[in-house]
Parts: sequence; structure tokens; C-alpha cells
Amino acid sequence: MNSKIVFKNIDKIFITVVLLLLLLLPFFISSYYVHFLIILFIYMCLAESWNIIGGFCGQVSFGHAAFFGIGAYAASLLHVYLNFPVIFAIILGGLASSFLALIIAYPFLKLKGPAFAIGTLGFTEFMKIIILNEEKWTHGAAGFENPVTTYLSIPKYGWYLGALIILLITIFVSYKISKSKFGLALFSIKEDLEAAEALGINSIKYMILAFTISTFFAGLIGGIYAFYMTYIEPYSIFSSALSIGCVTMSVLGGSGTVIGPLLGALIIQLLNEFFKSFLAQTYLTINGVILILVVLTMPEGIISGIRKFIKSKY
Amino acid sequence: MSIEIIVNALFLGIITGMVYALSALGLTLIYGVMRLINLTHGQMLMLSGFLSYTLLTLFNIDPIISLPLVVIFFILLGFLFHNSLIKPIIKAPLIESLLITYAFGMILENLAIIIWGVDYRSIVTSYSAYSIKISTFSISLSRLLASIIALSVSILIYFLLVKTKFGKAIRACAQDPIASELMGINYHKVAMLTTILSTSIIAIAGPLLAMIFLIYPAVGGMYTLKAYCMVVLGGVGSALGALIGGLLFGISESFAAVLLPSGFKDAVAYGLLVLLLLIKPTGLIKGYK
Repeated sequence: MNSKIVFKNIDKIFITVVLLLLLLLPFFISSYYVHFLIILFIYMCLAESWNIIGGFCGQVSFGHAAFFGIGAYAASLLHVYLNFPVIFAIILGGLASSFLALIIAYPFLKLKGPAFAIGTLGFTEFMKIIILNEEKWTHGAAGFENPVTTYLSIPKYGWYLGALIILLITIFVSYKISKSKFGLALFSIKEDLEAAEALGINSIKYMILAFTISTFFAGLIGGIYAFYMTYIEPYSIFSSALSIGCVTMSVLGGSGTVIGPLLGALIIQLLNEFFKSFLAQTYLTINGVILILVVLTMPEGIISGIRKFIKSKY
Repeated sequence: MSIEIIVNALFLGIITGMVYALSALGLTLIYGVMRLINLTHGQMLMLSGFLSYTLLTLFNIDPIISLPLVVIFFILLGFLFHNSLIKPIIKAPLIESLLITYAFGMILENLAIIIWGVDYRSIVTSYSAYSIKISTFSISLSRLLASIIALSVSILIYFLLVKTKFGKAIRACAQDPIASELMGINYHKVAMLTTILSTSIIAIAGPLLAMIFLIYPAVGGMYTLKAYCMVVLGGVGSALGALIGGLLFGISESFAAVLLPSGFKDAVAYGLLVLLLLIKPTGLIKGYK
């Protein structure tokens, strides 16, 4: 009887144990690994949030970095100039990037296909040039420095916790979306837009909603990044490499699934960490090679590759 | 704003626009036949510029004389690029072609960083210092030469597309791949030759761009977006549209340089692109296939 209950709730128990482990982990590992984990959470969150518009809905955005950057800059500016508390600044940063996404969403999402991808890529570059030339508030190319704030009096732990919480919310939201009617509508838009519209799905409405949700989380994690790194500058933030990085991670793991982007981010970050040690700044070459190999050999991603393998065995 | 400044900006814009137009032609050809956007475009332009730069600095070969050498290299590159990367994804979903071409561009860019470093460079020839003066405005000789070469190559390729049988095959495949295959055109052969034609155009446009602007490994992404902007400006998939789009783009950029603070010059390209996509994504000029 008792063992049955345990067995029934095994996934819940598993999740609780993993969460507890993640919460306590920073106390047992060196600060180098904590840093690695924070950056990993940030990338996981970016990949997972990109997946909502790119994976579920099939609208490939090449401008996710723009919304990450808007969140980062909005949060830091609000904190430094208007003395907003850090948490409010981060939430408002997320809302700011979501709001900007809402403005460009309607005309951009009507483009569909390659024009949407290129349009968002152009939008990122546009934002970069605006920030570069706006020197009074953001200090342009010199970059923007945040006063160092340590949360909860333990070095790094506050940001670790913040990144983890935002990541978990992102995962939870995308899981809920994937199981909901809204998610079903997104999947149908991805599969066949005309058929979905013929069945009465207001495609543009759902796409805009997905885009706003996706960019909200990108903005949130951008705020965390800005406060954790204490220094942000436009070239590294509004970069197409970062945007495509989000796409790469999702596609590698399996875009359109909840676990896929997380797995992809983990693999890419581990490989980057490994190659960085002896390739210096050109480790992106390896990213390019991985990307090409993945698209040519398993365009559906690792997750579906594993699923197919299991299916063929049993 | 005096009339002299306007004339000067217009003239400079046309001169630069001709070289831009040539580079846009390379992008639009691949899109027309294979329906994929080659995001490696800019990085290839960068690479051909650097090749020409290396030939100039190491062997002292003038960039215009070394053009055939660069073209030969790029014909080989185009052949390999098509057969290893483009061919498997011709009929695949869009995201795959975008990712593959972007990834290849990323590899080229980082290889360029390894070989040439991240510094800004410029091609300095024996005649760079000379300039032609007509009443109030002057234009440097190398710029003028670059635009004349670009214009003649564009006209040549335009006639290749309109007058020859090969050009007809390209246009047929751009209109309807299946129907053209039924008519006995070998689609895959045409696709491969189109990629090679496109990379050869890039091999000519890259050094010419390097004669006008500075070159550095990271310049590629900007060139790709600019070329795409010109293509959209003229009408996607149309050769004539790309040429006109390139000219319009060059002119608007040179006017922006006069009117706006210097840092915003590049924002024009992206602003124009975003604006165009919003207002008229099908392009200003009706497609000429």
C-alpha cells in the first residue's frame, strides 16, 4: 500500500529531490562551478523561452538576443537611475522587452518564414546601434556598469537563486503551454498555418501571445545577467551569435519539446567550456561545426533521435 | 543643405550602390533558384576581400588584377559549399537552411579571425591616393574603378540571365522547379551552377567592397543584412530588382551619412530593412524572373 503511493508519486519525489539538491549545491562546490551553473541557467532559460515561439509555434526568431538585451538594459537603468529595488527592476525589464515585442509583433509575425527571421535579425542590429549611439544614459560602446549588489549576503548565491527560479518558472510555463489548448493551437500553426486558420484558429493572435510570453522570459533572465555580471556592453549582448546560440541549443536538443532546449543548452555549454580552454575566442567555430552536423544528421534534435531509437528497439 | 552637398551625396551613393548591387545579385540568385537565404553571403564577401588583401600585401598583386585568382578559388569553394551543405537541404524546412548557412558563416568568420586577426584593414593600392576632381566634388580613383567594374560585371550577368540558354534554365527553375524538370532541365545541375555563379559574383564584389570600405572578420553579418535589405528593396528573387535595390540602398545610405550623426549611418540599413518588411515585404519593384 505504502510503496504503491511512493511509486505513484515517484516523479514528484524525484523533482523535489532534484530541486533541493539544486538549492543546496552552491554550498558544496567551488565558486567556479557556481559561475558555470549560473551561466548555464541563463542559457537554458534563453533556449527554453525561444522554444515557445520558435519550437512550439515554428516562427524562427533570429532576434532573441535583442529582448535579452532590452531586459538587461532596462533593469540596470531602472535600478541605477530611478533606484528601483533589484527584483522590481528585473520584473519591469522583462515587461519592457515583452512590451517592445508586442509593438513589433503584429507586422513582424505577418511576414512569416525567412522574412520574420531576417527581420528579427535586423531588429537586433538596430537595437545595438541605438544603444551604441545613445551615450548619455547607457554610455554607448563603453558599456554600462551596475553597482555590485550581493543578495542574501552570500556571494553569487542570490543570483544563482534568481536564475534558478526564473528558469524553473520558464520550464513550468512552457510545460503548461505544451499541455494546453493554447499549445495545441501553436503546434497546429507550426504544422500547417492554412489548415489551422481554416479550423478557426486566430493564428496571428496566438503567435503574438507566444512571442510576448517568449520575450518576457528572455527579458527577465537578461535582468539577472546584467546584475550578476555587473557590466554589460552592446556588442556582446545584442549579438546575432547569441540569438543563433538560442536557436542552436533548442534545435540540438529538439525544438518543440520541453526538455530538448535544456539538454541542448547543457551540451553546448559543456562543449564551449571544454573548447574555450584551448581555442580562446574562436571556440565558436566548434559551435558552427556542431550546428551543421546536427542539422544534417538529425534535424529533429537529440530528444526525438533517442525516442526513435527506443521505439525501434521495443 | 546646399545643392553641392546633395549632388555629392547622390554621386557617392550611386558609386557605392553599384558595388552593393553586384553583391545583392549574388544573394538573389540563390534565393531565386533554391528558395533559401544564404546567410554565409556576407562572410564570403569578407573572405574574398581578405584573399585579395593578402595577395596584395604578400605578392604585391593589384586587387583588380588578382580578381580572376579569387574567382577561381571561389568557384572551388562554391562547388564544395553546394555539394556538402546546400544540396542536402534544398527541399528541407526553412530553418535548416538558415541554420546551416549561418553556421558556415560562423566558421568562416572565426577562421578569418585565426588567420588575419580582428584588426580593421584596408586595401591600399598604388592609385588609392589619386582622385578625380570635377568642379566642387572629388572622387577617389579606386572607388570609381570599383564601381565601373561592378557595373560591367552586373550588366554581363544580367545578359547571361536574359539572353543565354543557361540563364533561361536558371529563370525557369526559379519560376517552377518541378515544371522545369519536366521540360528536361536538370534541376540539381542548375542549382549547383547557380551557387557557383553566386560565389563567383561574391568573389568579384568582395574585393571591390574592400576597396571602398574597411575589412575585418566581423563585417560579414552586416554585409548579409545589407544585401538582404537591397534584395527586399528591389523585390525578392528578381535580378533587376537586386540591381535597382542596391543602387537605392547606396544612395539612401550616403544621404543618411550627410543628414544623421555619424554613428547612425549603419542604423539606416537595419531601420530601412525593418521598415520595408513592415510596409511592403514583397518589394518595391514587381518581380522580374
